[in-house]
Amino acid sequence: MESGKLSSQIVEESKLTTSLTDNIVLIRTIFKNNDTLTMRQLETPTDPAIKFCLFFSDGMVNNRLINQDIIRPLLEYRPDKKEPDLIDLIAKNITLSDTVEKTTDMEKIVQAIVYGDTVLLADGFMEALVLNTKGWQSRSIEEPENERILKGPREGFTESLMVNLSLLRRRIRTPDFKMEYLNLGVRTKTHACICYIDGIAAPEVLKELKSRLQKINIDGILDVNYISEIIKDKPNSPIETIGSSERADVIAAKLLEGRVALVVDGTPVVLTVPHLFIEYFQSDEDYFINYMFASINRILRILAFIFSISMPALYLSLATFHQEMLPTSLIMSIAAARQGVPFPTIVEGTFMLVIFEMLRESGSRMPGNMGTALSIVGALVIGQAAVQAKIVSAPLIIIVAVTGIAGLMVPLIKGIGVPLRFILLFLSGLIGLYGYMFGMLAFLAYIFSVTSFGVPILTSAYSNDQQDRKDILHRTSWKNMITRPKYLSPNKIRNSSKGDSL
Amino acid sequence: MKALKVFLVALLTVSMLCMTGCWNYRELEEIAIVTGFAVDKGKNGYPYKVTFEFLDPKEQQPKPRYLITQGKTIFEAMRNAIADSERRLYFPDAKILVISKDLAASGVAPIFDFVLRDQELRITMIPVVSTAPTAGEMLQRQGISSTLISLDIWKAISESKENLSESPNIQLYEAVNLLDGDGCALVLATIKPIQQGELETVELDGSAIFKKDKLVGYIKREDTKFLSFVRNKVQGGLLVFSPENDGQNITLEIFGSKTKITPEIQGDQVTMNINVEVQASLAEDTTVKNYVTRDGIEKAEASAQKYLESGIQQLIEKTQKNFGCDIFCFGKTISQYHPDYWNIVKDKWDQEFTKVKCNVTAKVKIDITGVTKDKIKVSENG
Repeated sequence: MESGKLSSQIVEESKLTTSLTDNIVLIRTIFKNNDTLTMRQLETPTDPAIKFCLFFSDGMVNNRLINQDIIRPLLEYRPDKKEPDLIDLIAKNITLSDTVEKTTDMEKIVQAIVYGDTVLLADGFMEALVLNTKGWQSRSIEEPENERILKGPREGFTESLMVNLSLLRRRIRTPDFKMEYLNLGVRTKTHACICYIDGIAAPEVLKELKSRLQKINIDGILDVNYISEIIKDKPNSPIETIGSSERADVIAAKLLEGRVALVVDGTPVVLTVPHLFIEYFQSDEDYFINYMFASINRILRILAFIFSISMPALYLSLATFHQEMLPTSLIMSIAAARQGVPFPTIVEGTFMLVIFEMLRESGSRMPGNMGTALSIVGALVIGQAAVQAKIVSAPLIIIVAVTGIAGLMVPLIKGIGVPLRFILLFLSGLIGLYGYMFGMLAFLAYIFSVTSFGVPILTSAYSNDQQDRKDILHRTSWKNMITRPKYLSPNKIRNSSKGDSL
Repeated sequence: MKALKVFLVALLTVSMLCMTGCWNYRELEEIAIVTGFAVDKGKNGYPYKVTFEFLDPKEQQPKPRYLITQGKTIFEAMRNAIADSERRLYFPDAKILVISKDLAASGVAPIFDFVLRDQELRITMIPVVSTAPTAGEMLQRQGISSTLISLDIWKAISESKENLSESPNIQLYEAVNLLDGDGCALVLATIKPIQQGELETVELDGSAIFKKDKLVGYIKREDTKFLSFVRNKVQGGLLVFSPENDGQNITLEIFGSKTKITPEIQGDQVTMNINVEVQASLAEDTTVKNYVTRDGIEKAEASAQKYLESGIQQLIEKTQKNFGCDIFCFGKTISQYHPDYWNIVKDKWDQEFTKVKCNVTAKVKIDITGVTKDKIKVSENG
């Protein structure tokens, strides 16, 4: 009880005693300077020697539960004498609480108090009862802002782990669907849950995920990205090898394909492993709408990605190195537009791309009511005035605009798309199309080398097998989706509507 | 081992970067895009005077500017242009090479040589012969659809292939191939200056006939069409003729045409059987008769055949008599059918060509009569 010690050190060193007074002092010492701790002392009217004390954190609990299910039964309990197994009696016969746990573990008791449970101490007993009284406010289930779809289920995860798990469980009701809890973060002690379907998920991946999670030793986990960047195969790689989504249907679908999900308390984003490169381009809506239209959208997304990394570089190469590749009428109009522009094309291009990224970032950060101002500045000042003032040329504005729009089409891939766009631009500025080819080949070679939990992320893209290609560039109709994605699951067949044969 | 690997990769990268030819970074505003150039005989001892038409880079709208330089060779004239112009002339978009008739008469091969050798000039340029005294003045006239006359000429020649067949569409590399004397003489398109209203512009004007690489004469646009028939180059165009020889004309629009030439050799006498098959539609009828009957169609077909046959026959005879060079590629046909005979006559083909006899048979088929079947009825009793 020395005042120089940290509360967490006291928790490690101390133990409950049989004296209620000592125990109260101990817990109050641990929660020193923590005014949300609420203490409620009770005495049995018939026998003042039977004393109880309740501890809970104000704001984390459902006060009505405490009043009705704990305090009222205790006050109505009128024993003739002090039972020797009073604490068990309370647990079994008296309290109405749905979960009751008896413990002497100080760490557990403290965790229970801070996580909205109520701890009941009784005079003369070393054990404490942990009663479930959690009841804090959480966000309601809404459609995720950044993963909107037109058709299909709209439920998105919230910041509450239990709500999120219930969303998954409601979709997958087999008893093979397993959810294993663990705690992450030395100080935040964040709850997390590994979800997988036994018999479908690859055991190696599950084992690997667990062993990587065990190695995490960080003081706080506020979002899944903390975990994802620690446990991914190449921690410094810009390519995501761990998938994430806020949509319950997406995670359920990925679990059914044999992936393992990690739900973390306090964030609506759920991780899945392994993550293939093509998942950047797969939207859950692809599976809810007609397969033809879905395939067109999928191809557009892939094209948009290629555009978004290539357009500035290709324009720069053609306009400064390979003018002979442009049709005469085009070169004439570009040359006319370039007249009087003071900067070389590469400076112009870099400048405008940076401006665009600034517009994008300010658009996503600023308060909503400033949108009009931004669009006026963006359209008039940067679009029109800059061209009229001959600061930049009109074709370049078009290129940057197309690049930007294409880039926004596949938002998940930004982490790699934006740097790659600039790298290709500089390579093209150095040696033209040759540099662009260099950059693209290096990029391709690189993504072919990346693995996600042992699975090569571009594994099916070059496969010749029809079932491997069924969900890459296009999505085939559900009747023909017979197997799960390659390498993801030892249980290959997912759909036998057509008969058992492949 | 690792150091060696890094070294090898670095070596490969450096050599790949340095040993390739992509180092010419140049901004578009630093170059002057040449759309065509004309070659004339020079003055003051210079053999060549070159007129470049290029895009005026200072204007927002495409406008032409001209640069005239002289040199002992064409390349020297081009290099002299760098001294005169603040921008580097840029040639990949040059479409037209206008050759003056004086230079053409003394041989086009030396002019083509530079275009073939230089890496920036395209061998798909179209060489044309100017019938005006100098080629340079042709480039300085105004275009009708484009402000740059070179693009206008280029477009006219390219489209003539499909719509008129009245101008040979021969690109520079094809011209060079024709020069190698394999039984086919060179023919180039010609342009002449005309006045269109207030606009001083140019017009396509038939073909220039070359013997070896020297200009020997011209044929008119209609004759060029007959030439295209013989060379099986007709993709479209019109047949205008008068069935009754009374000045009232029928126009047929050609949809397809196929020409088959089979040579027959009896002793020293070469006979070319030229068989032209044309599919056409009746596109215009300015006669008083109605040709849209079974007999009428047959009559129209017969007179179209006669028109074609006599036109082709006359062109061949005229060429044999006046120019004595094989613009019909008869030599090439013979070399394919009778290579042994060709080896004998190859060296004296220009003389042999004038003795060749031709049987021209044409078959014109009128498939449709436009979107209507009937003629406009004009009431006879007013």
